[in-house]
Amino acid sequence: MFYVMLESTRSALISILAHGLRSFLTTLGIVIGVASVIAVVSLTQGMSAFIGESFSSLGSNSLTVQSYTPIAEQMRGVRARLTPEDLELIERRAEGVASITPILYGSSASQVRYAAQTTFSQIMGTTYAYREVSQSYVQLGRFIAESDNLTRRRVTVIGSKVRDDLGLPENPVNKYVELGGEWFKVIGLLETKGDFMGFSQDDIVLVPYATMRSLQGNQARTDIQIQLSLSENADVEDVTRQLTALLRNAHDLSPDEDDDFVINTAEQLMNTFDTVINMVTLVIGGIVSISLLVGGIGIMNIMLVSVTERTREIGICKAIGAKRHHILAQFLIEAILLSLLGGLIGLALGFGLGAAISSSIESFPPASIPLWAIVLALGFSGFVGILFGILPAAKAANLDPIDALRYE
Amino acid sequence: MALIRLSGISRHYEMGSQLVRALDEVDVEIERNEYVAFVGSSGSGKSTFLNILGCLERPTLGQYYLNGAHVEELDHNQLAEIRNREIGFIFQSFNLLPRANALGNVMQPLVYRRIGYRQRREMATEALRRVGLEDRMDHLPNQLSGGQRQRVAIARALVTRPAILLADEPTGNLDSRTSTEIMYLFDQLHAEGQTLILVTHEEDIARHCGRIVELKDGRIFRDRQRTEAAH
Repeated sequence: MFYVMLESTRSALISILAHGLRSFLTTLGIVIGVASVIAVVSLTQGMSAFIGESFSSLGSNSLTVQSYTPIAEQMRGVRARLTPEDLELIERRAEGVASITPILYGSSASQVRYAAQTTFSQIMGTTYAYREVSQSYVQLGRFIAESDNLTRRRVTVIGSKVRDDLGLPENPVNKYVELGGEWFKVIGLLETKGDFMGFSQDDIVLVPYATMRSLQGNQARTDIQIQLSLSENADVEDVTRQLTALLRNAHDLSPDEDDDFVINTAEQLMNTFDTVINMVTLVIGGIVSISLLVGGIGIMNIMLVSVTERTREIGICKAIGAKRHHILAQFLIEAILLSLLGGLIGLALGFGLGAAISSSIESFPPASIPLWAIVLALGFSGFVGILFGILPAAKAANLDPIDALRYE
Repeated sequence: MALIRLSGISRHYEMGSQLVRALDEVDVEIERNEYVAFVGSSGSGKSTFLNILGCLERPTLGQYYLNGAHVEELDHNQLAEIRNREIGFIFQSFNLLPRANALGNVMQPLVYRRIGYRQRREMATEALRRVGLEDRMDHLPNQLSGGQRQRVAIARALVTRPAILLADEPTGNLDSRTSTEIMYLFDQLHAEGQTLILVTHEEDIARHCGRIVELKDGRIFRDRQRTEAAH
C-alpha cells in the first residue's frame, strides 16, 4: 500500500507540474476558500485571545455586584439600590472574600480641569481595596489609603489618559485638579493599561469613597457597586450563592421575587464575549466553506477532463500490468495533492491577509491562527480532494484496457 | 505441454442488430521459443486474436491456457498480473507515456511489481542497453525518432522478462530501413530463446518467422512451418 502511494505521489506530482497553470487555476477555488476561512478565523481568534488577556488584567477572580432594575420596574419609578449597609453586611458575613471595595460612580461624566485645560472623565469613589480587586497599581505617588477615606480627604489618583488630556506634567503628583467644582490634590498616577475594545482604560479618576459620598449629598439615593476579590481557595459559585442569600434577605425579597441585583464574574463576561466571537467565527466560517465546496467541484471537473485526456495513457498502463487500484490511487492522489496544495497556498495567503487587515486597522488586536484551524483547513481540503477525486479516479480505474487503448 | 494453447476461441461483437464473428472457433498451440507470424488482410481477426493472446480482451467462447494458467477463469487483477509478468506487448503506434522519458517508460511495468526505484533503474537501463538506446535514456518520446520509440517500447516489453513477446504490426509506422533494424532485433531475441508472436500484413516481415499462420474471416486458413529461413 505504501509503495503504491509513493509511486502514485511521484507520478501525480509530475502530472501536476506538467500542467502548471492549469493545476494552479484548478486549485484556485480551494486557495480562495481556505484563505478566507483562515483570514476570518485568525482575526476573530486574535480578538478572542486579546479579550482573554484583557479580562485577566481586570482581575480574574473578582466579582462585581450591582443593583438591577428591570425596565418594567423602572417605568414605575422604582429603582433598586445597593447601599453602604449592604456593603457592611457582606464585609461582616460573607466567607471567602479577600478584599472588598465599594465603588460610587459620579452621576455622569464630570468635568475635570487643570489650569486652562478641561476634559470629561468618569469619577469613581472607592477605597484602598480597589487596588487589589481590580489589579490597578500606581506607577507614581501612592494609592488611596484608608486614612484618606476616614478623613474624607480631597485627594485623587488619575489614569495616564487624564494626565495627558489635561496637559499635566509627566509626574502629576502634588498638582491640584478641579473635579465638579472642588479642588483635589493628585496623589498618584495609575499604570497605563491600554485600550480595551476601543475604550481607554486609562481615562479614570479615583477619589476616596467617603469623599465622593459627601460630595454627592443626597445620601438616601446612594447606589453603590461592590467589587470584591476572592481568597485563594474560595469557590466562585459558593461565594455567589452566599452573596445572593445575604442580599435577598437584606432587601426583604420573597421567594417569588426576582433578584434586584446582579453578580458578575470577570469569567462570565469573558465567556459571553467568547460565545459571541465563536458564533461569528462559525457563521462566517460556514459561509466561506461554501467556496471550498465550489473549489472541490472545480477540481472534480478538471480531473474528469484529465481522465478523458489521458484515456490512452490509462490504456497503456493497463496493458503493461496496472491494476485498478494503481490507476485509482494515481488519480485520487493527484486530486488530493492538488487540493492540499491549494490548502497550503490558501493558508499562507489567509494568514497574510489576516495580519494585513489587523495591522491596518488601528487598535485591532494582532491576528493569530490556532493550530486547530491549520489542521482543519488542511484536513478539509484533503477531504475535498478525496470527495471530488473519487468519481474521476473510479471512472479511470474502471476503463476497459482495449477501449482505452483505442481511444483517440 | 505447449506454452500457449487456445481451443475453440471465438470473439463475437454486436454491431447494431448484426452479430460480427471477429474470431470463430480458433484452435492454436504455440511452443516455447517459437517465432510465429499471424498474417491476414484487415478484418481477418488477427488484431482481435493478438488482443486475446495479450489478455487485453476476453474471448466470447473458448479456453485459453497460458504458461500454466487458465486465463478464461481469471479476474481483473489476475489478468493485470498476467499482462505484467507473462506478456510483453509491442504496438504499431508505440504507445509510450508521453510525459515520461525513455527510462521512465521502461521502468513503468516494474512499478506494478513493487520493485524499488534503484533496482527498477538498473533493470530498465539493462533493457535499454539491449536495444541499443543507452545514450537516449533521458529523452522524451517526442524527442526520439520512430525507430527509437519502437526500441523503447521493445525495451519496456523485455524488461519484465515475459514468457511471450507480442507485437502488433511493429513496423507498420516505420520506414523500410528502420523496419529491417527492428526485425533484426526480433531475430536476435528469438535466437536468445524468446518466444515471439507478431501480427503483420507484410510478407517481408512474416518471412522472418519460423511459422506463419494465415487468418481469414476469423478462422485459420493456413498454418505452415517454414523449413529453412530465406536469409
